[in-house]
Amino acid sequence: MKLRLKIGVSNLIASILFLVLLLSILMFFIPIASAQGRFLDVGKKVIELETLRSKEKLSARIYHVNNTAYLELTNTGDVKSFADALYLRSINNTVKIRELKLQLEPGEKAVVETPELTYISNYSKVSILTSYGNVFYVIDPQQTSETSLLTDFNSTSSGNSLVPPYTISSLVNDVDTLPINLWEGDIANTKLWYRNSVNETIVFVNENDLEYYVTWYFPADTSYWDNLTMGENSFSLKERVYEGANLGKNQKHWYVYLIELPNSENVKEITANITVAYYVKAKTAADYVIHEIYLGLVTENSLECISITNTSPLDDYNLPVQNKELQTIYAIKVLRIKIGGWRSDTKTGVENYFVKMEFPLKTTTKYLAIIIYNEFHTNSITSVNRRALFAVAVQVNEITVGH
Amino acid sequence: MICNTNLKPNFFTFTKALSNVVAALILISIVLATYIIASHKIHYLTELRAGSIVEAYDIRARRISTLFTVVDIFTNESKTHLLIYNYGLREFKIAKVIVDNSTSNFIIKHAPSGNTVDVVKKGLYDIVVFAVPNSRIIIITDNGDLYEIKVENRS
Repeated sequence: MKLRLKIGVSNLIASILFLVLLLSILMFFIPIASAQGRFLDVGKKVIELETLRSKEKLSARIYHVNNTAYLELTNTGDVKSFADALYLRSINNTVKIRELKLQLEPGEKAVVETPELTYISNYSKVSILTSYGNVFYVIDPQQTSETSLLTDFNSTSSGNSLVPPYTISSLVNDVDTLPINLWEGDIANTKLWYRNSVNETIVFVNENDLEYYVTWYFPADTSYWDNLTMGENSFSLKERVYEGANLGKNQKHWYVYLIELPNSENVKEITANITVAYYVKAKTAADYVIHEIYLGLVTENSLECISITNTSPLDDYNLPVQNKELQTIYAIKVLRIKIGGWRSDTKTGVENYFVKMEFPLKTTTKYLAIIIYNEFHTNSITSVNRRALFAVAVQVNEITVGH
Repeated sequence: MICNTNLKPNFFTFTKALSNVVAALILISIVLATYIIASHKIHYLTELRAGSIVEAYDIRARRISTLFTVVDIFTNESKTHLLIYNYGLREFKIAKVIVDNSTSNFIIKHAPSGNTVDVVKKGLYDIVVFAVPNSRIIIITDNGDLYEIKVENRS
């Protein structure tokens, strides 16, 4: 009886104390767990949305029948696409929005009568907006936004022919092409500029010659991407970002691949059809990497300036040449990775771009520049030497010059 | 004597058992009393701590679920039209627009209908800013998030 009572009292005390403790813990953790659950749920939905968004791809064609325009949209992506609206901005900067509300399964086509596009030259910008937030440009001579482009654009209208006079079929050879590294930021102070000239092997090495920072490949080395092959008209670039060797925690690096254009005087428009494969890997949550690809047009003077410069280019976001003569820049891919957890993260993909560059006045340009911009930031306080890896492979499918 | 001898062990046993119970009750009373007295403070501190963590999660959730694309930007006379497409998981408000380095007046229009609105729901919206930027426009949302749009002067 005595023993039972003792045990009973001890258990009672222990139980009450345990309950008090448990209640206190629950009072603290239940709202946190609930909020954490909500956050994870939102994060999951955002990831799903962004995944769908990245897989969405449309191609478009404009037909003219009896002086009326028809817009044919084809879902060339892997996911169901929701074309929400057609956005048109006229030359006089008046905006017109045409609701489309089209649902397209992968491979499905839809044709919409679009009288607005009958006189396409009346518009300075025409885009298709989708529910996933993608903006596919039909016309955009000044496109700088971070969005995808139409993969195909054509017009059968005889009055508004967009067919260029000729096509360059073979682009890559030692004479006509020239890759250039342009460095900005701390690394420029390391005096590790390479000098480029035609036929020179382009590599960028660190002070100890132990490892390449940047390597160019001709044709492209596609080993970072599964089932991807590229032909002779291609190049690739691999850059490893190091924090060591006093290179700094914030690095911005430009690379330019130049393609010499024949008949480059009095150019009215240039169209480029390129396939871009990108691969970006960053190491920890303290890292923030940005990978961007642009197309630009470079005059001969600009090229001379690039070739002879031995100092860091000006700290100007969109002008990687010293004398700022890069005429027009078209953003075709902007990828930003901010890692969400204490882990490494890799983003990779392959996209096809059809970029149309139109000029209000006939212009003279010498080179089409494919500009690759890699930016790296870290707040890491630990000394990790290799921080990020960028790789990009570009296949030049076709370039046309219109006069 | 018989009584005494019989009572002594019983008394001790009872005293011992009673002590345990009393001790237990006293201990429980102390624990409960302490908890009751301190519960307000414990509750306050717990809520404060838990509340700040919950708020931090909610802010992050709101931040990652605010997604929009810049569709177009152009100037018309002394106004700048910034067209954005909200494809995120939540609607949001724009608290402030800064053009270059100055706060500017603005209105938000639902682009398809042209109606002036306060809240950016899913879809296309035209933010009409009564200023022309030279270098950048900064949008600050009701979350306190800041979005910078660099403007290139192409003239």
